[in-house]
Amino acid sequence: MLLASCSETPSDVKSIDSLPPIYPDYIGVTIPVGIAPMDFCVEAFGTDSTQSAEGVVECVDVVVRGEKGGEIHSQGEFADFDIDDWHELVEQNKGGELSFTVCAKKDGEWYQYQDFKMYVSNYDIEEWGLTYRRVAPGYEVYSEMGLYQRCLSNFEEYEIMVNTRIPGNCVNCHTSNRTNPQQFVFHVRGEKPVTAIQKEGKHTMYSTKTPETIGLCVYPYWHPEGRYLAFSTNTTRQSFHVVKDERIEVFDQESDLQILDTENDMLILSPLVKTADWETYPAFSADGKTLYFCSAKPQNFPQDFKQVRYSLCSIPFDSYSGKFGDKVDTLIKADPSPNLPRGGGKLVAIQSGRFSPSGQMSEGQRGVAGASITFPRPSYDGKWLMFTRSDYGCFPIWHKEVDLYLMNLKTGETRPLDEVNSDDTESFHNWNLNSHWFVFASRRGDGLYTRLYLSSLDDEGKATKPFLLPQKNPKHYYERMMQSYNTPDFTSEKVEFDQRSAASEVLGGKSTQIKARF
Amino acid sequence: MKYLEKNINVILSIGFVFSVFVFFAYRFPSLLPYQEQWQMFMFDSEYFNARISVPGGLSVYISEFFVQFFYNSLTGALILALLLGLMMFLQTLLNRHTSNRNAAFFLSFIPVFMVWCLISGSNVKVAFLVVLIFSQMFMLLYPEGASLLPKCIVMMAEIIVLYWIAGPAVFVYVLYVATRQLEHKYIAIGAFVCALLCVLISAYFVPYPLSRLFMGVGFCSNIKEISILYICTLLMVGILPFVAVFVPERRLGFVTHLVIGLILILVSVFCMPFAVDSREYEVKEYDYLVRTKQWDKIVEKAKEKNPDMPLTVASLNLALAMKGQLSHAMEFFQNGVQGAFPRFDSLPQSSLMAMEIYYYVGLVNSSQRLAFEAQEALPDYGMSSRLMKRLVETNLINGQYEVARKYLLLMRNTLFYRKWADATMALLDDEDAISSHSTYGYLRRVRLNDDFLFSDVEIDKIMGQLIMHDKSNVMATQYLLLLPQLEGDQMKYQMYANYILSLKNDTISNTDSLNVVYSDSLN
Repeated sequence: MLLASCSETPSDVKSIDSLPPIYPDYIGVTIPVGIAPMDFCVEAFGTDSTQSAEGVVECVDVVVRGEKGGEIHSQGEFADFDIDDWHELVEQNKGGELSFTVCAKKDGEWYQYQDFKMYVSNYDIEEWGLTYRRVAPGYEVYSEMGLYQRCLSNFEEYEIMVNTRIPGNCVNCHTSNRTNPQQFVFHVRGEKPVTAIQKEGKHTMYSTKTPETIGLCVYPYWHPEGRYLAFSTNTTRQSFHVVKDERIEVFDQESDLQILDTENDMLILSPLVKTADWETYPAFSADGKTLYFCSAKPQNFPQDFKQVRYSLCSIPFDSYSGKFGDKVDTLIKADPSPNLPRGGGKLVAIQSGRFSPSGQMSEGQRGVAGASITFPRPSYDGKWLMFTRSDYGCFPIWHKEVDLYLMNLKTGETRPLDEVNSDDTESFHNWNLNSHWFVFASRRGDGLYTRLYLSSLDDEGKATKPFLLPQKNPKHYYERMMQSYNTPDFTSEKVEFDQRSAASEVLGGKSTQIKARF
Repeated sequence: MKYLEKNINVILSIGFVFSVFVFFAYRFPSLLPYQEQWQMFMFDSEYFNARISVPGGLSVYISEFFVQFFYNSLTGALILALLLGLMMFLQTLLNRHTSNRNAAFFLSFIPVFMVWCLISGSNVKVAFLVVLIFSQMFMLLYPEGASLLPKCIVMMAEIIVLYWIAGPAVFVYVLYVATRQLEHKYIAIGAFVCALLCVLISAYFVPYPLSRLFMGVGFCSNIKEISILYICTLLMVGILPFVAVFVPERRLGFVTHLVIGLILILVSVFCMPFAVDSREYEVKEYDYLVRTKQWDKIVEKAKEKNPDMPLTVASLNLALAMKGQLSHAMEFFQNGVQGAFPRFDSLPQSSLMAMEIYYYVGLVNSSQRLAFEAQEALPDYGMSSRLMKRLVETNLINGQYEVARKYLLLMRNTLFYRKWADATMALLDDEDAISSHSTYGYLRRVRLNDDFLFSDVEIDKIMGQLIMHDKSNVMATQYLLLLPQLEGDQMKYQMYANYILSLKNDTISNTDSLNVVYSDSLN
């Protein structure tokens, strides 16, 4: 009935002197060529400033005009653009803007809002799509969850591995090598924990606990050459807050770093990253010569949980010899204690003045001093390093104050990414291969269910207003979605993974035991 | 009399249905609401699509549609009785090949008793009954008298359709075909291969391991606890029509028929209670009373028979606390600290009780956590109406309106919770309405503002924090004084009692009367 009544040309249109209340907020966002149609709906609205936003929007009529030509039209319950027409229009307007004229019908009357714009970036996303995990934002028990992939040019989503195939287990920490899924890793945790590594179409299940190491391999990152995989190994616990705006505190009781040589199934250890301190979240630099990671001084739990501060550190790595370097540098010393830099290295960032020769800290540098740094992600062009900043702790998704920060790896200049940060949590993030786009997880939607946002970064490091991952009928989709999206990454092509055989290997307990050496 | 003679089976069937109804409605009235609370049936396309995307899903969907009416034990009992009656009727029709009409009817009691027995337990769901009914219907549709080719075509089509409707219960159909076509072994083999192929091929398209597809998705809570009776019931439905053929022909008189029928019904009425685990049922009874806030009934029940399990003792203690009488707790059997605050053990049942207690003492976050955990622990990856309701309430109290709205929108798609969802929707963003709400306003006031990490081994200290935060929190006061008694720590008890007395606060020292006021407001 609604659709039938929604096939008409808006007539006797009244003007409303404001931008349309659309969901998602796509007003002024920058999009790449090839992105799926940016469908949106118009929320209930008041017809003038004295009226409250209520009632039902009966019909939405949207005309999109390209600055460089082209026009498309959508009419229905929500703005739902024809996929081919959309792609043609966006491509035609690369580097230009799209102007949206929105009319909405309410109580039988048509209203027209001020036009709004979207900008079409000159930077492409060459990747096929995104990978992510979908899981309920729960505590200790997990239900149905899985690793999924989503084509960015349409709304298709595919499974990579779902835990219903391996009852009683969870899947997590999927990572490809510089968006290339030909080298792909993820973990299975539960009764039979394994790490699945797929290289060139063949997967192997590894049992990664060794007598020399704390436990299983945890947070992964590929070396760009594809032979090595850096992992942390963590003894992780969680506790629960008692006040209203806090829910969960995930913390490590110990953690180290290790690198897996996939050619001989050997973990490479170093006393510099296997210390009494807690080392975690490894990430290789674009050239593979440096391993960034986070490190904190141990604290007592639960009484001192708010004292945990992770610094941003780095250690050289030589892929030829497969050896760690002999010093650890501290890029951002988040720990306010006056201790000297660890590992015989130097304090190269904020306190040392190396990145700030005048000794004056920028606003961004002041922002991270004394805070906790996690999830370092160097861009693949070697120019930037993005990380999350929280007041304390190592698991930012449960901290509302968490923001994304960007470090210029050439100058050391560090600043909060105000263009993309919100009042709620911004957390896990990853770059696309040309390093002009990044995807990040944020709880800005409803404060609990994490959603994915994409933003573009120009050569000067200026980011654009992020946009929520498009969905067909997005309001209904996100309202109905009872899972969070986490650990997003780009994938250059569709991930091909044989779920069935992997599941039978997991259930059958088949795995290759790895060894460890210093 | 002739009318009676002609319709004797109908009369006995009605008697049977009535006895099932009485069993679930009056003898064990807490069984069905307990089942209902673990699901949340929604009238929307996503819910339907999620169910029918797996073999057997349509049966699960239909069963969940019925189970939503278990919200009320009377309507639930009526529906279940009618479903069992339908199953018996279909089984009688399937037994039609016997020349002994009496036997056809009496034999049909056997699988129905077995299903009744299974559903009275905790593991097997109503979906199991629905898949059996579908299997029976398809068995009746089997064109036994048709010529070979049409028969084979229809059989294969039935197998494929039935597999998607009833999942692995298709093998019941295969068994029936095999026993009806003993002279054509290749038909039986063909039917078996066809059913097997259905399972194997579906494994490529649905995200479940083969073992799960063979056992059925959504027919029981825990496939690891599938009993021999479950397997035997499946076999019985398929094989009984074959067995019936061998029953010697013997026509019974009206009276004999009536007497045997009545004996079968009476036997079922007297024997079926033994199928219900009395201790499990006791937990369910207490749980139902807590859910419906029948505190007086809980205390009365405890006076009749002292509860002795952690969950039942915890229910009693909660009821006593809600009545302001927890100081009388030691008059009843106690079960250590577990009887006050059951420890979380990833089973939804124990989370549920702890969730209730934390809620009423003012630990809103902890209650929310356990509601979420219990929902995640549901074996069929579904949602629970009771838990969803609590998630809405705790998010509302904590001011997380967008999350509460998300859950309420889902609950609007239900039959029995829509009204509540609509009414609660009006509270969103309305600080004044929530603050003045008898329960939400109270809990918002007594919940903690100073952060620390919850520890269930220091629950007494947390009670102390609650009291220090709001001295009118008589629930926390009562539990604070109970805990050292449960531990047998007299010194600690004295210390806590002195602390309470030192507050010199009328609200504390005169707890009994105020508790009544408090619990009234919560009710």
